[in-house]
Amino acid sequence: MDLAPQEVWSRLLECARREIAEHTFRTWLEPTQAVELRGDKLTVAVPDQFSADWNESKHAALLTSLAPIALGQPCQVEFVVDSRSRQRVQMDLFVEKSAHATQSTKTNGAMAAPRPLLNAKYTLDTFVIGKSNELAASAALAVAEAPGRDFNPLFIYGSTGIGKTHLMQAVAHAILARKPATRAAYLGAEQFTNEYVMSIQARTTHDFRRRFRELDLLLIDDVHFLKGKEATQEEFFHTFNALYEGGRQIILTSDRPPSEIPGIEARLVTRFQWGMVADIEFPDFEHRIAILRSKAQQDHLQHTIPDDVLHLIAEHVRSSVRELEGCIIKLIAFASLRQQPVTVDLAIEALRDRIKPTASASGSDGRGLSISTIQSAVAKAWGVSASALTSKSRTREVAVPRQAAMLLSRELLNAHLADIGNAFGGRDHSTVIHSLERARYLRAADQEFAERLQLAVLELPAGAA
Amino acid sequence: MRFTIAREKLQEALTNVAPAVPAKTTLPVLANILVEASERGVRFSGTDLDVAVSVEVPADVEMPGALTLPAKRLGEITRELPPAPVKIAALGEQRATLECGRTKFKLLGLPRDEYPAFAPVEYNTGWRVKSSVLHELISRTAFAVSTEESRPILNGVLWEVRAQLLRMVATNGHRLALMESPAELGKGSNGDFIVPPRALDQVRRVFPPEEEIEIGKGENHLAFRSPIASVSTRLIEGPYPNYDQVIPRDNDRFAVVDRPSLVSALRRMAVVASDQTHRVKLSFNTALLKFTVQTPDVGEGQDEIPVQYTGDSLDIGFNSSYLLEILRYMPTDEVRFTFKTAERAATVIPENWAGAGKYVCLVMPLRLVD
Repeated sequence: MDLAPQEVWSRLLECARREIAEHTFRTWLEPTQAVELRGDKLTVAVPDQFSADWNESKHAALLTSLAPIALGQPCQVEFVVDSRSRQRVQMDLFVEKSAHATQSTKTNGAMAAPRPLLNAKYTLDTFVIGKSNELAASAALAVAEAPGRDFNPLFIYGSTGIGKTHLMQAVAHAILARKPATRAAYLGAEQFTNEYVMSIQARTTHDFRRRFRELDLLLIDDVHFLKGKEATQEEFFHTFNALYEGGRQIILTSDRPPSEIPGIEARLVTRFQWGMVADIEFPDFEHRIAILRSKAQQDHLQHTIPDDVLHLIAEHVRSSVRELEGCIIKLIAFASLRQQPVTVDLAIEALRDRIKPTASASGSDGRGLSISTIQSAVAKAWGVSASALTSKSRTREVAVPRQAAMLLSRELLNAHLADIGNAFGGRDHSTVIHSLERARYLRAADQEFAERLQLAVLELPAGAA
Repeated sequence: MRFTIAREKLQEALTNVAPAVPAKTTLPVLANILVEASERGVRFSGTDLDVAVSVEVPADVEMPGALTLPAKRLGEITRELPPAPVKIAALGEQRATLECGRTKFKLLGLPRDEYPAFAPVEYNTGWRVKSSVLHELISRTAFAVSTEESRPILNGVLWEVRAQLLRMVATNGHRLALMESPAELGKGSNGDFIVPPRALDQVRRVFPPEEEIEIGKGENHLAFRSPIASVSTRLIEGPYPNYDQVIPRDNDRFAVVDRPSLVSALRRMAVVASDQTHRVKLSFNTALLKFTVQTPDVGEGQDEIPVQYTGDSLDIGFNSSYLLEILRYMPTDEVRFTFKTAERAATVIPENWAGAGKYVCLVMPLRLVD
């Protein structure tokens, strides 16, 4: 082809303009420049990496298909970041040299990006996907495929030990495997706070900012630890904005959804909700079995743990995946100490503290019983949603089961009034006192209420009555 | 404390000290001026804790003593006083009366003890410099400091003191000014200091050019003093970037330009230049320097002036305000530019300068395509 690359590109664009919505065309395809035409491969420069990725995924196929019409011959379009537009207009006496230096190290090897401290075991391969976590897992997969695009930030919440950190790090592993030059950082909110405080002490807040605002991928674990730390939240807010506006991926985890984290500024909460908020729940029985199998397989133990033992563990250990894994480790250690094969009896002995004999399994187990399990049991008995119990609504349909759930929380868990209030949408302890009185009265006076309450109690794990 | 002072002397002292008094402060006593009367005269001092200025003026002291008085009010009163001797007397620890002819004031101040102490400075290990030398070094370099907070080290002027040489360097990363003056300092005179330009401004204000200035060092302070006045300043800590490395040595295109005509051409072009970049394109040819400005949304401009140019013709973009600033401080009517390429630093030096020192400015170009 003897056309200049600019000419080829403008003809292609002319055709594409008819196919693509006007504003999309203007946003993504107009600010581009043809750089080079080699064979049937056209290289087009775009302002930044984000537009390169975007055009590549959204428009490259269309443009390639239009090529025969526009040019009379096939042509492949490739997008690259315009090196010139990455430079500032005003050249700098001191920065210029260092920019060259970093560029050359980058070309020398992709190892220039500092490695975040990731656990090598937390990969997508070892993450067992089940009903309880499939939403979070598919969001994570999408993020790993296209960071900074659809689900930004990705906010994963769920209670302790059920794989939030695993999933988050798995995304980082996947992205780093594909693009080793990605600048990623993984740290807990606590660590973020500490580092910020240290940077204030050492007067290096400037370095701190630069470190975090020039990342491609930021993972913050247990973001609820930012609670009440106003200056850190302020800093995090700006970091968040800088990254978000730059199209960088942010992944956060917490033990509860953004709107329920106390002591976090509203502007941060809304930002957390901008992208994807996905929860991970307790795995169900089948899922627990699958997790145990996978764990046994990872440690090459498939021969030594029979299925009935796995079933036993899955049946009794319901609180967290971490505990499931703990059981396996303990069981293996116990077996090798005794030099006995793993059997159901051995498992019962080894895991005495976790597995109650069948007889007492119906007794009050304490484990797995929490305000939230009570909430869901009560909600089921009254036919309302569990989230309604923690909502602001005070209609009769919601208020009565809420009072019932508070009563059970108080009587079965002996929970503090303030804790109950917090768990029910941040209500005051005096509200809780009133609710308890009201529920006690209803239990004595209202037959139907008493029956439903009994029904709810039966719904509770391990029949905790 | 009681003394009588000529109105002009009082005004002179207050004008020198007032710029060191902060306009807004969290420490109320800093809004005051410290007045100390002793047998030698009266000393007035002001500070914002970073830079401190104090000036001693002759006065007829009846009773030594000290207190602090509000700087702004004292200055305003003095400005409006009739030309007659001013009599200032303390009434206890924090009040004073001021009388001048038939005018009488009572002013509320603060006790002397509340005024912060100045950082200790050692003059014995210091050195002496002629004030005019400092003046020139400061005025030709300090304009180039950075005002951005992102690189605090560039907010100061680097002052390098050597046995035979004084050198000041200032830059904001885009342009740089360097001046050297020969000096006869004692052996062992050596030191690098990063001085806030505000302090250097005070040095220029307070010390007349013909004076000899003693310079002393503190732990993190530098102080300048003459028999009657002193300026001390906190220094900026940290390593200054390696400026020597960025001064081009292999520039092989030269232009000698008449400074006034270059300045007026640049000022004309700057009118239509972009408000952000102030970009003006300069095209150097053998005898002609052409200016071109093209700013979308604004318009275009062209101009040309004669030039003596050697080397291959060159198109190069500059921030016109950087060039204008540099040209303002050039001591000669003709200046020499040197270039390598349109992406490398250009130098500007005075042509046929009679001065004893060395003066060079650097400016980084603006990219012409974007």
